[in-house]
Amino acid sequence: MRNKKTRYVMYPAWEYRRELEDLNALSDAGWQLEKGGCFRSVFYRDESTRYRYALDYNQSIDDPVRYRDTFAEQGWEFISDTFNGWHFFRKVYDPDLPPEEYEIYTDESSVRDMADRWSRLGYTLGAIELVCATVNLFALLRHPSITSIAVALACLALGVMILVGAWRIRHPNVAGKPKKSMGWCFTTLFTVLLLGMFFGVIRYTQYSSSEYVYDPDLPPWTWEMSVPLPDFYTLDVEADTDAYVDITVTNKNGKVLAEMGGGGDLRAKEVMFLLPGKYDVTVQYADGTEPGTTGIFRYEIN
Amino acid sequence: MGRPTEPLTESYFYILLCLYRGPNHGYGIMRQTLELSEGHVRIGSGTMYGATSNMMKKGWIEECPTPDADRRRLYTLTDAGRQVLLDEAARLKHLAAAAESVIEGGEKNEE
Repeated sequence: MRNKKTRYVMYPAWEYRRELEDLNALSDAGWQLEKGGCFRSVFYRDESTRYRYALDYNQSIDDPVRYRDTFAEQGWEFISDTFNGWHFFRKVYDPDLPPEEYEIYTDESSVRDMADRWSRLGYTLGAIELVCATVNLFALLRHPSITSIAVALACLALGVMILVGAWRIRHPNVAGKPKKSMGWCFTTLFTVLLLGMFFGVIRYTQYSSSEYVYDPDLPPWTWEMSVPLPDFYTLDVEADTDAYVDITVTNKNGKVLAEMGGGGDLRAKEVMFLLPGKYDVTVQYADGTEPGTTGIFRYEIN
Repeated sequence: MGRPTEPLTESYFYILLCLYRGPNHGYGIMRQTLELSEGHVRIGSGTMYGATSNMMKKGWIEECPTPDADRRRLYTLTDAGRQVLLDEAARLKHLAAAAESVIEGGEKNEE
């Protein structure tokens, strides 16, 4: 039988009591927490002892040694802490002792203080998420893409969820215990956000602005473009020439996916959906147009 | 340091009370509070750390040196803390006396 196991579970902060219940149940089943974390917890096998766990949120401990000593005096053993201020403790379980023996906050004022500490952070994080969602919505209007849609929606949902959670942790008596854990939802949204940001960065790194000095003696120009991710892409053209030009995006089968043309002072955008693959971007003089002599041509696909 | 600006919580009151007769450590304060309150008030570790930190910041209590081998933290009352405790005890006594005079007085309000 295995002696160690790792659990990948994320509990939203306002569900810390549910996390404690799960840790206690695992301890009763012989799995003892070795290291607690926000996303990953490590357990070892020991059926000889049962523990009860405590979770404290405190980011501004003025004297960490005195903090742990104060817990040790009442039989709490420090297990680990997380980067964001959660501290895991455990105490050997004695079924003859009252449940209050396993509470670390024992009056309303100190329970509220801990809730306030997290809810202040929660309200700030929630507001930041909503600001990010708004910025991404504006970005979405300029350049629609699957990643920007995903990031905007994930930011919006996370922002609302964190704000509601901050309210719940601050008003436990009004909010009551949530019937179902929102951990899976939180984890999914967080993953979507990270993936969206990751792929968004890759996408925008590859399709940054490109500028070409227009050479009237050598039309047409064709550039090969490689698309690694299926997504909406915007063809953004800006030309300042003295001749009419056409620009087309075609796949390798010759199918035209986007086309636009104009002359003089051309400013145009076209949204297209591209699958991964190679594409040709071709710029040429429009039919019947005499070659120009001067000009700058810019296109951007992003 | 003067009076507290608002009534003390039960935890704060009992911590100060348990230090009135001399230095005491966290576990001793917790046990003595249970006895004095006849089991009604328990001070958990999180509550104890928060309360002692706040009271040290306010200058009501301070830490005393302990033997090297002893990890328990010993606290003692300052003059300011002693005055806060006495003021709070007087306030509570006054409240209790007022309640007693009404409850045991037996007179009804005039309608």
